[in-house]
Amino acid sequence: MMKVEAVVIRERVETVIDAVEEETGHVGVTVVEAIGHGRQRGVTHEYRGRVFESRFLPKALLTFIVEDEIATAVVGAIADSARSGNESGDGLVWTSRVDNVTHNRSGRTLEGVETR
Amino acid sequence: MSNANLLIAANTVWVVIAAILVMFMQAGFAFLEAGLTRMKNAAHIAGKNVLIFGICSLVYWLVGFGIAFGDGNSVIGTHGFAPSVDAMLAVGKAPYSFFTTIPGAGAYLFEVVFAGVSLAIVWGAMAERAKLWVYFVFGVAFTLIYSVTSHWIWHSGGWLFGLGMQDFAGSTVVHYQGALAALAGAILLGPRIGKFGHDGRANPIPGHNMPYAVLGTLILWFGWFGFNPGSTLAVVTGHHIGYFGYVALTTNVAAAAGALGGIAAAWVLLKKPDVSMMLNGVIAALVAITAASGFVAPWAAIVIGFLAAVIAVVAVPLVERIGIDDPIGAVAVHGLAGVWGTLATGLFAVPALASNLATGRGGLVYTGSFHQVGVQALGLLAVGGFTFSASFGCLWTLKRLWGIRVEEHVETAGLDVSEHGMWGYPEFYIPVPGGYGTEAHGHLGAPHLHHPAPAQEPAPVPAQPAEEAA
Repeated sequence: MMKVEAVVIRERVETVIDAVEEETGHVGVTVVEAIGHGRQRGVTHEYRGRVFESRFLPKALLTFIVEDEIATAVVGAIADSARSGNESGDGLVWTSRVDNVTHNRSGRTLEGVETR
Repeated sequence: MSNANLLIAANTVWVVIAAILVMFMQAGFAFLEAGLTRMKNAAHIAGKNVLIFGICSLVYWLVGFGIAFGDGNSVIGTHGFAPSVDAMLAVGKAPYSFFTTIPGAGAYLFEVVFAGVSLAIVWGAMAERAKLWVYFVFGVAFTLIYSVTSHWIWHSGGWLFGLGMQDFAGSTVVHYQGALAALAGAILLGPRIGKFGHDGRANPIPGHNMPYAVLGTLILWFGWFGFNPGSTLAVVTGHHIGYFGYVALTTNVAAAAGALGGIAAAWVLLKKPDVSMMLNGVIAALVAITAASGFVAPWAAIVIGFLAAVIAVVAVPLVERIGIDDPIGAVAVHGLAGVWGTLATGLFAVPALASNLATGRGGLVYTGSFHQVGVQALGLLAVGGFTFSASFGCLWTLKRLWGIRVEEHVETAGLDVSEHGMWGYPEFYIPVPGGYGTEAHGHLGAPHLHHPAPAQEPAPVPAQPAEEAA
């Protein structure tokens, strides 16, 4: 199985999850609210006409566990739907191989469980 | 000092104190509305109560007070615009010959806070999606609309007053009218993003702070002791000395019945004793007793309050079912309860109290006559037609010319950051100086502590809305 992880803008979480389902049929995700920054090194805010910097921006970390053959399609769906058109801050998506993916309820490996 | 002058002094003390109590209702609305909406809009929604009271106070001084209470004809007051010092100090003289118990200035203060309450109601149904500048333009327009109908019903020369319409402190004038404009606004704005699912069913968008809503409701209840009892405009009413104390009593028992009616109706109908519905019940009861407070017996006040609360609990989901998104419940709580209170006065008005106030006749249960109910219904129809069409027309024009609803990304990010560039609860959204995520950032452009200073100061990242930056 493959683990697909993506850091995306918080407001796009549902757009991305819907796009993955539409493009690949995969259902199931874990969402962690996260903060972080990329090359823009954070953001400036204004308060009463004065500016201040904060280093982190609100993001979400999405984790999908998917079958090997759809991993590329899932990555494509995430990248397309996470793109905001802004100069920076759209995040990253990556995959890694994972073993022993076990379905807690049945105790069987996920490959052996009907997932669709 | 003569007895007559002492009486005017006593009247003025009471009416000005009552006005100050009513002014504090803006704080009640600020907490109630902020509490019943989402935290991303909290600063905007609380702050707008200050903005609209500012607009209303000046417009009302300039023209509204003259339209409402200046000498004129049966439809509109035509004198008393931008009043002079003399006009504000005189008692019972042109251009405000209507006020025989208090000086013009005290009367202005008492009446302007009512206009402010009516205007506060308008935005409840328009919350979380209207553009900021609409508050300025429609705030002016609504203050004028409000002034016209308050002349009809409250000024002794007004045509509905002449027919004997009983609206002691404004179930129709203040609450029903505010709700009519609120309804027009909610229809023209459309529902908030996410309010209705793809199948058209309403999603609840829970308010972010119930203790705020409770505090707001208690402040409104407190302020209502100025709202209704102050509408005696005097410490002696007909042959009853200290009649405002009686009005305070009917107000309080109605609100109490509303609290119980609201929580009971929610428990029975919605299967949960919902706190926000109990609060809606209190406010609906106060709205309903507003017209009736000077005219009815205590038992009738309890009936009116209890049923108003039930109406509110039933009507809040009904308004949603017909596709109207009213975040605070203004249409149900101020509109329908206002209609009920106005009609209920025609049912329960005690003949002796009506004759002591020299307004209308006894109600159906005492006289067996539908006359007073008919007058009340006529008033509701007239105000409904005028205020709804004027408000709808004004907002429709603004919508066609410039648009009244914020863009989608503004609504999603929240009006606090999008319209005002700040948050009600900043630390929930961003790291702030002195906290996590900003420890290395002493000042803008200063080198970060964890990497060497660049030869040239880096250009500061331009400030931009959070969503773009994200």
